[in-house]
Amino acid sequence: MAAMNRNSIPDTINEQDMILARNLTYIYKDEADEEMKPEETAGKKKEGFFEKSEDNAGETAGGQSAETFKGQFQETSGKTNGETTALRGVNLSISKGEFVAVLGTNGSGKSTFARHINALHVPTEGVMLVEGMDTKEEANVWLIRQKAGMIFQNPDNQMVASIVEEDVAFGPENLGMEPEKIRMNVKEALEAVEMSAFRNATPSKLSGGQKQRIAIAGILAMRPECIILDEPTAMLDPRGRTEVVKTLQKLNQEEHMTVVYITHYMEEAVLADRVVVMDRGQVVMEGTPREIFFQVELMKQVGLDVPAMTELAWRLNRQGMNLDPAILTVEEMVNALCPSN
Amino acid sequence: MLRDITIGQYYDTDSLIHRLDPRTKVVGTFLFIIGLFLVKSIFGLVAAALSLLIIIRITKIPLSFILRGQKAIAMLLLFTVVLNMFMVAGDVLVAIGPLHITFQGMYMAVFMAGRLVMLMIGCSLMTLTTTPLQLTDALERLLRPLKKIHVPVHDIAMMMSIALRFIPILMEETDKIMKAQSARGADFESGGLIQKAKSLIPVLVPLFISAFRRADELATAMEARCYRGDEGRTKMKELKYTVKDHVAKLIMTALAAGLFCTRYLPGVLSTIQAIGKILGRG
Repeated sequence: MAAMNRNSIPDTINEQDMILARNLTYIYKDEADEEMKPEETAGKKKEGFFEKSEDNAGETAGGQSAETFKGQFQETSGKTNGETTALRGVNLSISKGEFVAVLGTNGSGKSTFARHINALHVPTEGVMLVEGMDTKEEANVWLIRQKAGMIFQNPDNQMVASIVEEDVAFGPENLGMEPEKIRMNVKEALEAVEMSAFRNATPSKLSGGQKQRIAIAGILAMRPECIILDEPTAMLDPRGRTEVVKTLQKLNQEEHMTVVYITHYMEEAVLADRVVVMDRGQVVMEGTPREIFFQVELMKQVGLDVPAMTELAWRLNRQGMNLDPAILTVEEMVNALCPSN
Repeated sequence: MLRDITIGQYYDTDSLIHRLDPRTKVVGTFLFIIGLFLVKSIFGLVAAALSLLIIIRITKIPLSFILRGQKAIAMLLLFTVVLNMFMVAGDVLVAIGPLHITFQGMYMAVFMAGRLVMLMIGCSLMTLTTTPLQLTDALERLLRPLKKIHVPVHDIAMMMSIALRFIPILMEETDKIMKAQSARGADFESGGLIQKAKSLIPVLVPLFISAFRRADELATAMEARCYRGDEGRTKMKELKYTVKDHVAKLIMTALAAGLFCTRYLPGVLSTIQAIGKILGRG
């Protein structure tokens, strides 16, 4: 793969490939500190804070000055003279109908990667293909955005209209569909997310989970092949999270929708077919949830957690118990601890 | 306090008026307002109030709900009434020192207040029965001729509908910020008007920052949903006039004309009286 010509479209495109990234690199110039990007709010900040202070604790105890720490931090985010390398040489392919979870800490480049799929960012180097279309080509942009719909973190900030139905229709309207077809698509999209009853409701009166489901319907009405979700549950309560995840699972299983799910909730990543772990703009691990979470130490190294039950199994094993280290759910843990059940 | 404003809110009862074309409602409201300003006598004002009551009944929106929404203009109303009461010259009814209330002043005050209230109710009826998006659609269509002279009609309409969409969100946010500041010892209640205004600055700064951030995120989300201005854009609900709309417009035109005619009503009445007297004598 290293021998491949850097900027050319790979000649071996698999028919099954929905999304294909080859040597994807993204460098952006910025005067302001991008560590606190607007889309990285609330929940994530907190996580980053704890993680940072934890890392830092050992170092400051060792007598390191804040200056050195800052230097290290800059190195992590790949910053040099106002340029930040958000992605460096990402190679990834996602096939049709797959449910892929992308994990990573703050500034690991997972959001940037998601934005590349939707052509909101264009690679500085390398190629990003969506259904064989290069995101660099101006002419492809709108078709790519229709094929690969994107959901963002804050449900309020992605709704355009004050009526659910009209908001869902926004995408198809932009595509210039026939009014009859729009109506049909909107109806089906709302049914798919089980929100038909709220057709005429005002978004501000809905719960976070419901709003996010409407946002999903808004994308579905455009008849995409793939949905990319950038931490859609970060601002939701546990109930809203379950609603959104269930909807996605259903879409993936029943409609064979390709789902790229960016999250930092390990319990949600467990449900994916494949987990991709990103760190400092690179893909560091890739595999089924079991294969990934089994490597507890490695996960901790990149600053991520593993599902609570996997962690428990890991700790119990360290204390001398002999459990399967690849336990993911409570049920599996119960079965492992009480085999008689 | 901010929650009481009913302008920009939608109240769904699915009445006949709700189902009218939004353009009809905009034109109708406009005609009503014109009629209201042409009214010169108290008869006309009563006629306007009666027709407004009939319209409210047709919309099936509870009158109390509409009246509650007028709280916001209470101050303006009080101001108008007081000014008119004291400033209009005429036959003095009560005199308090240099101030005096005249009969003409009282009449004027009641008249202006009635006009103002009805104006507000008329406008809020339009927004209560029309979703903001329909309303902006209607404006977009009605203002389309201006496109020829390069007025960005679609963009203005889109900005308006987004502004309306974010009113409740930003209000909630204001509330949250104020509470957060109060919890940290900020005082919004005491002090004079200037002091109060000053104490709002720490609320406005974070509110603006957040509004800009929201705008940025919304723009990205809109782009991700293929928004590229009005070129090649279609509508799910295309505006279409039906017979009902034409009838409604006729009624509203007749109402405006009728209200205009009421200014001649006293004259006509006195003429009839005069004729009657002449006839009686004869």
